[in-house]
Amino acid sequence: MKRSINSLIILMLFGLIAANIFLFYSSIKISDEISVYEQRIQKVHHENINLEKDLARLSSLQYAQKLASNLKFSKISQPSYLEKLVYAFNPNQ
Amino acid sequence: MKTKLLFIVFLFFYIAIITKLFFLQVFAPIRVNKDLYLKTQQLIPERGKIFDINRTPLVLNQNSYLLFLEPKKINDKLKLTKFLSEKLEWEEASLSAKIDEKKEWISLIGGIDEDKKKEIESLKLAGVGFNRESKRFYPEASLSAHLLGFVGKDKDGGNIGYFGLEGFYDKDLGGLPGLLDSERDMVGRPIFSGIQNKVDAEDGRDLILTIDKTVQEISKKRLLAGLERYQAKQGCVITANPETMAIISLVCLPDYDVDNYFQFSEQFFKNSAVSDVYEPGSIFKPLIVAAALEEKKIKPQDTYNEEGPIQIGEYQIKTWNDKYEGKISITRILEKSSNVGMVYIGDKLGKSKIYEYLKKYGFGELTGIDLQGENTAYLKTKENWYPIDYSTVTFGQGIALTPIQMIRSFASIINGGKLMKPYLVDTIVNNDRQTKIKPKLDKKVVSEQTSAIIRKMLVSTVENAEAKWDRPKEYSIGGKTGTAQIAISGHYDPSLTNASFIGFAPADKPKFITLVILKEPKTSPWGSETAAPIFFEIAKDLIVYYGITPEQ
Repeated sequence: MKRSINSLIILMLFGLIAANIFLFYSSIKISDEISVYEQRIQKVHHENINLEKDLARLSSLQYAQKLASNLKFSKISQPSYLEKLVYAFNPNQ
Repeated sequence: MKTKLLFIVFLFFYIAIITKLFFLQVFAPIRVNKDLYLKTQQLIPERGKIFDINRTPLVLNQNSYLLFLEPKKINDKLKLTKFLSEKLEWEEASLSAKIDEKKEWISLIGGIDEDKKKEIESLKLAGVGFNRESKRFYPEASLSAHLLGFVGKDKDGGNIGYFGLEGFYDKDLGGLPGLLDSERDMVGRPIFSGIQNKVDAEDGRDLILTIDKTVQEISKKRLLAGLERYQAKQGCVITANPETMAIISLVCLPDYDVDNYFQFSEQFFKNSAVSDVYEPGSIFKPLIVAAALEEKKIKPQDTYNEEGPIQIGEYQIKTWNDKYEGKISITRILEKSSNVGMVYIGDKLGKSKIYEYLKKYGFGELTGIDLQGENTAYLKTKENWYPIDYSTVTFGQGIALTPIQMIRSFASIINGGKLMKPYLVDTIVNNDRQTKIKPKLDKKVVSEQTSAIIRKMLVSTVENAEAKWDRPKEYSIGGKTGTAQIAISGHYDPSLTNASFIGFAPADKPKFITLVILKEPKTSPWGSETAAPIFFEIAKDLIVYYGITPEQ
């Protein structure tokens, strides 16, 4: 009887040690995960701000003007027609 | 025997642990440094963004970094100062002087962008670190500098809005900081079973403006070209919805670069549209005509015999070109901008009514526009008015007001008589909750009937004015020119003027009202030759932009 109680106590002791180790391991794992997610949230937020900025820049009037200027989509590129070519043409030559 | 011994050993350890815990918790609780594991962190809220009426951004936030140094970790100070001075474009000597080797941590420079940070990081310098922070980003650059204001630092190094909307709505845009109490282990991981208290930061509210960035761009482009063409010192364009006084565009030039505001002196930050006072000149005349019509002192079909100059005490009042047409209608008084005709109308209206209407139009008080730095423009008390003042005020001289007061009062005589409070914020967004700002009626100034008569007179003023403008012919546009001499040391200098034009379209149901003011144009002193052409250029663009159909 006494022997079986002793065995039970030892078993419980090992059980408690195992549970404790498991809890300790789990809490460290969860803490790690919290840390990782905190960093990821920050990173996503950071990227989000960058994307929002890029999107705003690309849809801005300033960018459209710059693009139009690079593509020569401006008054300068409009053709000017010579309506009175007679002044330029010399039939004697 | 062995079991007893084991029991005694365990009991001894148990008592030892209990005693130690009792000692730590009861006798020496202060010795335990809470900071070792409890981290308290202020959570910085994100500043609210600003959008135009079509929800395209005018101000956003962007990532930036604070560059800091840890002098005790620096290996080679010479190399560090050399590299950093190159990257940051700082004098090597002043950078070196900043590095105090006795200190643990030195904040060097804020507002570093992502690319610059990567460049500095690639140098792999010991003792250099970055803290993440945030700064404003303006997709449209300085399109609305005066309107938006900027975010600077207060005396404690915190962010604070200055001027414009950033200044006026600083509390709303700034948000509320949060707090995080978190028990962390040695490497900074949160202790799962420990204290984890978090009060979330409340991000700043977003503002959706009544401003349309396309109209803003049109106004700025036209004003800039006008300033160069007429060689004016300064200029402003304000466009509003006359029914509600929602401001659609507000531009004053010269302005400043919002990204590099610190390179400009304070005089550039002042928004002339709300802060500067000026004498309006002839654009003021319709206000007096409307008051006289409202009081039934004159009728639209009345005539006035314009014979010649009028003598008031020692002063002589003439028409702008010293020409007199004899019998002319009330509408003609406005068309030819007759000062003597206006003195006649002022006489009919009477001194006390003139003063009463100046008060009614809101002069001498704030319009309440949601911009920082609005000026009331002082209106003399009735006792301080000389007889000449009652005459000159009828044609807009001898009274000082701000451009925003002028456009607001003018809008009231063409919108059915409603003096509205001008405003710039259409909606305030707080997370998912949106608060729409409703137009606010301050008072009723004139009747619908008077307003309709004035609109017709002002259309006729544009069509039959002395100057002929390149205006869209198929549209009825109402408006009035103004040329006010500038008072210098108690005298008017005829060569220095404030040239202006205020107009609206379409005349029957105005979609927009625009005020153009040029300070000291050099090519011509007249509003009809400087401010008016700018107005018609803007009006043409707006008619196309709003898709207003031709009327005539």
